[in-house]
Parts: sequence; C-alpha cells; structure tokens
Amino acid sequence: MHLTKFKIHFLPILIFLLACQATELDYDNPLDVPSDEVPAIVFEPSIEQIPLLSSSLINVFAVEVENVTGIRAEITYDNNILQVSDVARGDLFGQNSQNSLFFVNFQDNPGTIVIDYFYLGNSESQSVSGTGKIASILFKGNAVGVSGLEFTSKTELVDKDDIQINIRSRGQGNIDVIQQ
Amino acid sequence: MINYKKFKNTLLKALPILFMGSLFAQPTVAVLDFAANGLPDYEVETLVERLRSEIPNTKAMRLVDRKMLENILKEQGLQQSGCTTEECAAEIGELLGAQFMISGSVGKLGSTFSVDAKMVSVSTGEMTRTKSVSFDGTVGGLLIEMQILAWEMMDLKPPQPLLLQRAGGDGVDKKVTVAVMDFDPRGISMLEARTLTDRFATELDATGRAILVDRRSMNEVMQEQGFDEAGCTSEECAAEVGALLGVEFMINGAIGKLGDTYTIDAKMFEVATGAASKTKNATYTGPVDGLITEIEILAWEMMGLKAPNTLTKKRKGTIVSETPKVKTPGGAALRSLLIPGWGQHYNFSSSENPSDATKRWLHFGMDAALIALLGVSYQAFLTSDDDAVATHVNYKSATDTQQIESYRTTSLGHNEDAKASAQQTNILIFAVAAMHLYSSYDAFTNGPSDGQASNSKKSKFDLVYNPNLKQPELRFSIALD
Repeated sequence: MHLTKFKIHFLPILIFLLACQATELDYDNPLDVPSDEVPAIVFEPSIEQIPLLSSSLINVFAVEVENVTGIRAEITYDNNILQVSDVARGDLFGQNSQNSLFFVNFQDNPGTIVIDYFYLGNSESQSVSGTGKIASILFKGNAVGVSGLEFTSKTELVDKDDIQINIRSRGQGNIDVIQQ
Repeated sequence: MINYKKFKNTLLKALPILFMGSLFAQPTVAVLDFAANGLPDYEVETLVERLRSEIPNTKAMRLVDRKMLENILKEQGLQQSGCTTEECAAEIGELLGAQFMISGSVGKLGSTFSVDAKMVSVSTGEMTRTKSVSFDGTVGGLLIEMQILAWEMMDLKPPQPLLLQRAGGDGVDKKVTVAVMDFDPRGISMLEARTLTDRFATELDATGRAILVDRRSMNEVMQEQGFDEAGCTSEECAAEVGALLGVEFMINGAIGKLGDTYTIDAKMFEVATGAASKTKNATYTGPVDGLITEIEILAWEMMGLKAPNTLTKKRKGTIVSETPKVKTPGGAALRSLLIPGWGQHYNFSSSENPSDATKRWLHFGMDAALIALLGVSYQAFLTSDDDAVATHVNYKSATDTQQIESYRTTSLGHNEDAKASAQQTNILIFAVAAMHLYSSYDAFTNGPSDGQASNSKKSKFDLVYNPNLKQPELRFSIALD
C-alpha cells in the first residue's frame, strides 16, 4: 500500500522536478529592429529600473537610417517622476564636433526635451547612413513611479535637401523609479 | 498328561473372575465435600465434583459412589463438610467399605484461592497424603487445578494435556506451549545434537515464556503414532506432531559444523497455521563448549527476549547472528523501483528461477543504457543552454546592428539546440522512470514464491490443530491476493 502511494505521488513530482527546460530568452534589444520597421528611432535601454534619487543614462539611437543630415528628436517624459540632469552629443555624425551642430532644449515643466543635431555641409559624402547614437540623456528619479519616454510626432529626420525621411518605427521607453 | 482343551475352557471361564478380581484389587476411595472458606458452598461442591470425576481417569483407585456416601452420612446424621477430622473420615470410610477417604477445604484470600486436601487411610486412621494448591485467577481456573489435584492425590504425574491447559490459564497467559524437536545434526553426531537440543530446551524453559512439553512425553507420543523423530525433519511432520501434542508452537532446526565454524538454524512455527513465527540463525567460530552458550542465548532470542548478562558474558569465539527476513513481493518491487534488476536478483536468490537471472541483468543493462543516454543528452542540453544564454548577454549589450544580428542568430541557434536536447532529456527521464516502474511491477508480480513469503498465502486443504476446540480440523484456505 505504501509502495503504491509512493509510486502515485512521489514519482510524478520527482519527474517534474527533474524535467529540464531551455532558458526562455527575450530577443528584445531595442536596436534589433526588424527590417520592415527601419529607419527607426529608439531608446536604449528601453526599460530601466532605478532607485529613488538615482540616475539613469538613456541613449537615443537612429537605426538603419540612410543619407541623413539632420535630426530633430522631441522626447516627452513625466516631470513629476524624472528630472533631466544632462544631455550629451552622440556619435551619429562622427566624434568630431566641428562637423556637426548639437542643440538641446529641455524643460522639466511639462517634461520635454528637444534635440537638434545637424550635419554641416551639403555634399553627398557628408550625410550618414546606418545606426548611430544621437544623444545620451541622464535622468534623475525624483519620485517613485513609472515614467514613459516617447518621441513626439515632431521628431524627424531630414536629408541634405532638407526633405523629411519617413521614420517607420518610433521606440518607447520606461523608467521605473522605485523606493530604496 | 495335560488336557489342553479342558485347561483352555477353565481359563476362559476364569477370566471374568480374574478381571473382576483385578477390579476389586484396586483400593477404593471416597471424597467428602470440602469445607468452604470465603466462597459459596455451591462453588466448592462443583470443584469437588470435578475432583471426583477425575479420580476414575487415574485408574489408581475406585471411587465410591456419591449417592452411597450421602446415604451413609444421612443415616449417621452427619454433614459432609462437618466431618473434618481424620477420625470422622475413617469412621465413615469404614461404613462405606472404602480404604481411603479424601477431605479438605477450599479457601479464598483476596484474589488467591487455596485448596488443601488430605487422604486418610481408613484402616489405620492415619493421614497418608496431603496436598496444597495456591492459585491466582478466577474460580473457573480452579477446575483444572482440581483435576490435577486428583492425579497428585493418587501420587501420579498429571497428564500433559492437563498441564498444558493449566499453562493456558488465567495466571500465565503470556506463556506459550512449545515442543522442541531434536535438532538435525549436520557434521556432528546425533548424540551431540540431542545434547545441544536438551540444553536449548532447558534454557527455553528457563526463559519463563514457554511451557515445554516433556521430551519423554513427546517421544512417547511420536512412537505411539509411528513417527520417527530423526526422520521427522519437515515442517509438515513437526506440525502434525505438534497437533498431536496439543501445543501452539513447534521448534525445529539444525546444527551444522563446517571446519571450525558451527551454524545453528532454529525455526519456530505455529502449529495451527504452519506459518513460520520466528527464524534465527547463528554462525559461531570458537571452542566447542562455547556452542552451548550460543544455543542457550538462541533460546532466549527465540522467545523474543534478551539473553541475561550472565549468559552473554560467557560468550566465546566469534558470533554472527542474524534473523533472516521473509522475502516479500513488496520488497522486490521496492528494490527494482530503486535499481531495476535488483528486485529480480532478490527474487532469483530465493527462487533460482532462470528467467529472473536473465531479467535482472536485462533490466539493469537497459536502465544503465538509458541513464547513460540521459547523461549525454543532459550534458548536451546544459552546453547548448549555457551557450544560448552567453550569446544572449552579448546580444543584449550590443549596439552594432550587424553584431546584434549575429548574436541573435547564434543565440537562437543554441536556444533551439537546448530546447531539442531538453525534449530528448525529458523523454529519456520518462523512459528511465517507466523502466523503473516496469521493473518494479515485474519484480512484484514475479515476487518471492508463496512458500517463502508466507505459508498462509496458498490456497490449500490442510489438517491443523484447533487449540480452541482442542482437536484437529480440516481447513481450506484461499489466497485472496
């Protein structure tokens, strides 16, 4: 009788515990944008969790763009939760700051950052193609909560003739500020 | 010249007279009612009546009819219980024409009963015999004591069944009735085996747990029934003898000698069911006199008791004592559940069935092969999964789209491999589990044969002794499992 109970109850549990499963992996690198959704503009990392009063560096990337000479990125965030500490130039248009102009205008009320980044010159060779960082934004968590990061419709890419390039995908981001 | 025909006729005519003469040659005895001290008269009358009814069974004396005794007493104006002196008893005996008179008293003190009986010679008026009995228990238990008293008053040894009934009485309910057969000698002489058996029986008696049937009585019964003790080594034979003796348990066994090593195997089994109640083995190496100590210790162990220190201190040589466990299908199943083939090996060691011998290796081999495959598969799973996770970390941290693409492709490939290996591993886990269950089931269904598991698991007709009815009975038992 004991043996029967042992067989009925113990073995399935044992088998269940022993059964192996491959690790579930999420292929969610924000820069890994499907080919039919490029060119795109994304946040990297797209999801971040930080303790209260700590800072988080969020990069803004242009993915698989072609012949871009100018970018305007308008980003909104919850100013009740986050505060922008600093915004640094990215390397999309090269490391040399003399080849490009970089302007940032951010205000914590109502929580908007406007980045203008232009390539100087109008020759074909002076436009850029591919993936590159537009800017790095340092946010500080001032209150507990989740703040979304979004590109507004005013975000745009332009070529040397100032013609707008269609952005097929605009990424979103989240910063979760938690109590320490 | 002798006329043989005339002599024969004369002899035949004289036989009834000789027979009657032999009857009248027996002394006569009358039993007076005993005085009652502390218990009702009717109870004492019942007890004395039992004493009276047992006297003819002794065949030592003739009992004077009770009616005759009462008439004489009535004529003499005497009360039976009032006649307590030797003179009174002798006087009445003379009137009855009896040679002996028995009188006495039955008393109760707390829960203890006492019976005092005396026998007076009518011709001399002297007391020829007195007996006293103390008994703890119910008054009903005294009935046996009165029967035994009847034999003792005749200066005879009470018969074995009476003594056994006494042993099964209220005051000694923890004792069991046991008969010990001579141990089978193997490599030693019959005389040595008998000596050791005697020592075993004596020690068994000393445990206080067993009421032993006298060896002489047992031999007499066996001879009467045509059993040869030396040839009665099987359990069936011993059980039959046990039933004839009216005992609950029989003990038989063997004492063997291999070089300087002695082996003692003793088995106690229930006469009523034939089932083995206890089995003890001991292997002893040392001087031969140490064997006596071992067999004495074995007697205690057979009764489920710890041998006294005085005995264990006498131990010599090296002793390996073991109680073989009864093999069961459950035991076989559990073994095969742990290691396939182990249960079949367990079955094989008791049954010597060749199919078990093949199966034990087949099951073990299959299980080993499955476990080896499982190990390989699990290792492959671990490698693939680790690679997938490592590449995935690179993928997550990469910012170059080409690298991201490369890492994603590689990681996904490893992840797919890991999933395939996991699936294969899981199938093999179930296969191993199924192998264990199947082997366990096989070991259970082909488990140790009924004879080894239990004698009572066979459907059979057998002749058994029913201690309640005190007679043999034919039993039909059906195995329900």
